[in-house]
Parts: sequence; C-alpha cells; structure tokens
Amino acid sequence: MKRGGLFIRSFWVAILLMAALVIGLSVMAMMRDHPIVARILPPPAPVTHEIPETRLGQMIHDAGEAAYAAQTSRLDGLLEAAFAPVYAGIPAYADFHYSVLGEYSELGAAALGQMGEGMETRLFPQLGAGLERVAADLDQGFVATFRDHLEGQISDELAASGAKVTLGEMTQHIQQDAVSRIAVTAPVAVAITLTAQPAVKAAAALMAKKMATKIAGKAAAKGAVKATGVGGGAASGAAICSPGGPIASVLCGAGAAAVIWFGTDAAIVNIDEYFNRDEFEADLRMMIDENRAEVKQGLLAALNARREATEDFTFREAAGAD
Amino acid sequence: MHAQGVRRLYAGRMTRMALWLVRALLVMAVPLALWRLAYPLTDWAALALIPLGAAIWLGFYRPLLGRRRAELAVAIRPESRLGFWLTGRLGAALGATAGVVIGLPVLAWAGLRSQGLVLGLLLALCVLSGLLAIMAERGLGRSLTAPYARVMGQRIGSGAAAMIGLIPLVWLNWAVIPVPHGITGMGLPEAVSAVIAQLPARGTWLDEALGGFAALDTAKLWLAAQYRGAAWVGLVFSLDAALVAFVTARSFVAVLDFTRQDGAT
Repeated sequence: MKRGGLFIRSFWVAILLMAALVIGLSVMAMMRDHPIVARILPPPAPVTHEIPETRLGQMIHDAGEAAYAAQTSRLDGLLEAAFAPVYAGIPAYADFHYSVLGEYSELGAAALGQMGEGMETRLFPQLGAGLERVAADLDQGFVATFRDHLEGQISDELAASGAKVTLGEMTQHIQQDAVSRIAVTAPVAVAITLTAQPAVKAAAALMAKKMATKIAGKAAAKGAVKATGVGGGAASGAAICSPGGPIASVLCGAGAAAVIWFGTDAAIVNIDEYFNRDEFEADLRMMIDENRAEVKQGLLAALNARREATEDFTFREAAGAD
Repeated sequence: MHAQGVRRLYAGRMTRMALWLVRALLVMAVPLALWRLAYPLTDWAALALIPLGAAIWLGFYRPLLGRRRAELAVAIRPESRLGFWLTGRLGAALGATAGVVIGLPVLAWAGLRSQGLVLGLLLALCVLSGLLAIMAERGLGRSLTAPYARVMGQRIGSGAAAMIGLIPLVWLNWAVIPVPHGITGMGLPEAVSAVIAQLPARGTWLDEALGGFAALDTAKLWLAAQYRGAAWVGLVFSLDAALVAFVTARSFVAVLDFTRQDGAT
C-alpha cells in the first residue's frame, strides 16, 4: 500500500513538473522576440534562423502570385512582338490574293483541300517560332521572378531576426527545393505545343475555309462573264486569221480565247481589289485578332497552371477540380 | 428533503466524473505537450512519454487482470494447484504491453506532427470517449459483473466515441488540411527524404523510429496525391489518417481507468 502510494505521488509530481515545464517553454517561446526579454537575455549563441513551415509556405505562395502577375503583365507586349510579322504580312498576302496567279493558286489549293497549309505558310510563317520564344521567355521570367521574390521575402525575414543571423539549413533546403521544383513544373513551353500552336493551325484552317467559299463564289460568277467573252473572242480571232488557212484560224481563235480569259481574270481581280481589298484586309486582321486572343487565353491558362503548382491543395479541391 | 439529497448525490457524481476527466486529460495532454515542445531541442523529450506509457499500461492491465481473474475463478477449482500458476497476470501484462506498444508511438507521432485543429479535435474526442466509457460501464454494470462491465464498457465507449470522432477527422483530412502541391511533382524517395529532412537530424534511434513513421505517412500521402483527381483515393487516405481516433480514444479510456483507480489517492 505504501509502495503504491509512493508511486502515485511520484507520478502526479512528475505530471505537475511536466506541466510547469510546458508552461515555461511556451512562455519562453512566446516571449523570445519580445524587446524587453531580448534586452535582458543575452543574444542566443546559434545565429541561424529557421522560418516556420507555414510561413515559408505562404512565402512560396506569394512568390507564385508575384511571378504570375509579372508574366501576365508582359504577355500583351510579347504577343504583339510575336504577331507583328503576321500583321505586317497582311498587305503582301492581299497582293497575292488579288493577283491572277494568287487566285489560281488559291483555287487549286482549295480544290485539293490544302488551303489551310498554304495560308499557314504564307500568313503565319514565323508565328510558331515566335510563340515558342514567347513561351520560353515567360518560363524564364516566371522562374526568375519566383526566385527573386522568394529570396527577397526570406531576406526581409532574416533582416528582421537580427543583423548576423543566417538562414537555417532546413529553410535553405525548402527554398532550393521550391525554386528547382518550379523550374521544371508545368512549363509554358510544353503547354504552348499543346494549345497555342494547334490554335494557329485551327485558325489558318478556319480562315482558309472562309476564303475557299469566297473564291468558289467568285470563280462561279466570273465563269458566266468569261464564257460569253471567250466564245466571242475565239470566233473573232478565228475570223481574222481565216485567210491563213484552217490551222491559223484555230490557233488565232485559241490565242484570242486565252488572252480574253486571262484578261478578263485580270480585269475582274483588279475591280474586286478596288472594291473589296480594304474589307478583305480587315477580315484577315479580325481573324488574326481572334486567333491572338485564343493564343493569349492558352498562355494565361499555362501561366495559371504554373502558379497553381506553387499552391497547396486539399483532396476535396483536387477531386472537385477534375 | 429527499429530492435535495438526490440532487446532491447527482451533483457529487458529476463533480467526480469531471475530476476524473480533468485528471485523465492532464495525464494524456501534459506529457504529449512537453514532448511536442521539447523534441526539436533534445531526444530527452522522450522521457516525458514514460508517465503516459505507465498510465496506459496500468489502465489496460488492471481491467484485463480483473476479467481474467473472474474467468479463472470460474474455470479453476479453488483447491487446484493450477491456481498458483494461472493468475491471469501474464495475459493481462501482454495485453497491456500491446496497448502501450501500439498506442504510445501513435500518440507520440500524432502529438508531434498533427496540426492544432486535429489536436483540438483529438482532445474533444478524449473527453467524449471518457464520458461514453463511464456511461457504458454504468449501464452494463446493471446486467454484468463488475470485471466484465468494466472491460466491455471501456471497449464500447471508446469504440463509439472513435466512430463519432472519425467523421470530423475524415472531413479535416479531406477538405481542410492542405497537401503541399510540390509532392505531386516529386518521386517517392524524394518526397520521403524531404519530410525526413524536416525532423531534427541527431542520428539516434529515436530519429530512426520517427523517420519510419514519417516515411510511412509520406508514402501514403504521396500515393494519394498522385491520384488526387479520384475522389475515392482522397477519401480512403482521409479515412486512414482518421484511424488515429481509435488509438486515441482507447488510450484515453485506459488513462481514465488509471486515474479513476489511483487518482484520488
């Protein structure tokens, strides 16, 4: 009985001592940064500072937000540079379109179903490479801003901790890990091959489809005009050369028909250009604008994916997001 | 006069029950709090867990011994020499040791790594399991003999409380506790190393043991994070993480039994 009583008394004394220790340690932890305590107590011997995990998590999140904001603000300028050759190429494409050669090339491509490819090579020749440069630029910018912002926040925290304090090993590890991870996670360059470049192809195909309808309509209208002109021209040519015999008559008739055929084409193309070129260029510009907006959305989504890669998630959010 | 006596008796019971619970909470929470605060500084923090381990061991041992003795009293004739050897102590000691071997490391790991919200919920679960165990023991005491009512009441009380506590714990793990996004882009060894690197590296057996817990927890989290798009994966992970409720509730009821038997002395 006595032994049991001693055990119980010792047990409760131990619990009370531990409770006192818990209170003491908690108070010390709370008061460590208090200016009065800091003045009374000598400065601590170890001069390393570990940033709490939750605070570091917030810093990583903030750095992700800053990197996202910085790159989205650059996006319009970068896209403008990438699309500049496309806009600059509109007059040249219109020249080609309003030429007899261009008309026949387009008609042939439309008949073969290759008009999208033709338009892509003529109107967007450098856009693919330009968008790749934009993506690489955004990736580099994102990582640089993320790293600089995180370093800046950690430096501020260290400065607040004391003049000679260095960063703790664990915090350094997490910082390096976060930066190296963000460098390889969800790059925009990968996303652009999945979204932006197919968007360019789709835009070229859509533009080609619209153009093919117009070209077919134009060809049909011209066909009726040319049929009477060519018939008349061939008859007149044959009549003029009839003194030279039947062969000369046929050759003259065919030559006159060809001259009238292409002459009519040239005349109609010039009239079409005179009345419709501005509208055609405006149409092209509008279609390119639409495509550019689509590419921008794709890039914004890719940047957002990079930003999200710096954020924590709950399983509920992850399941709901998919 | 009679009604006043009943009220006084009822109030006395309530006060006694509250005192048991407060003592048990102190025995459970104080060592774990000291362990949580002191472990980053020194491995000696593990000493704080000794009183908790002792309380859990005795809290399992005594009810088990009581039930075992009741069984042996029925099974062995009083004049048999077997009674000298078969005292029930060995079986009870083994059962109690199993309770400590399972309960103490799980509580230590949960106490060290769990977030404040989870710890608050586990404390509430302790109170609930204590109340339910006392009520179940009293209820069963009307039909069963004391040793059986004690063991069964504790099991039923802690089990019921754990089932109730499971719901908010699953919810916390499912919808509130954030998973670091970085884990989705890491390989398993890399993720485990990153978590182990967050523990103090003192190269002791305690580090190794806690490293094992860290590796197991991280492997489960990593696997769930890889398939995070499937809701059932997250739910299974959350349910697994919430199973700590059973260990916590059962350990607390053992501590409560210890403080009920010895706390007043």
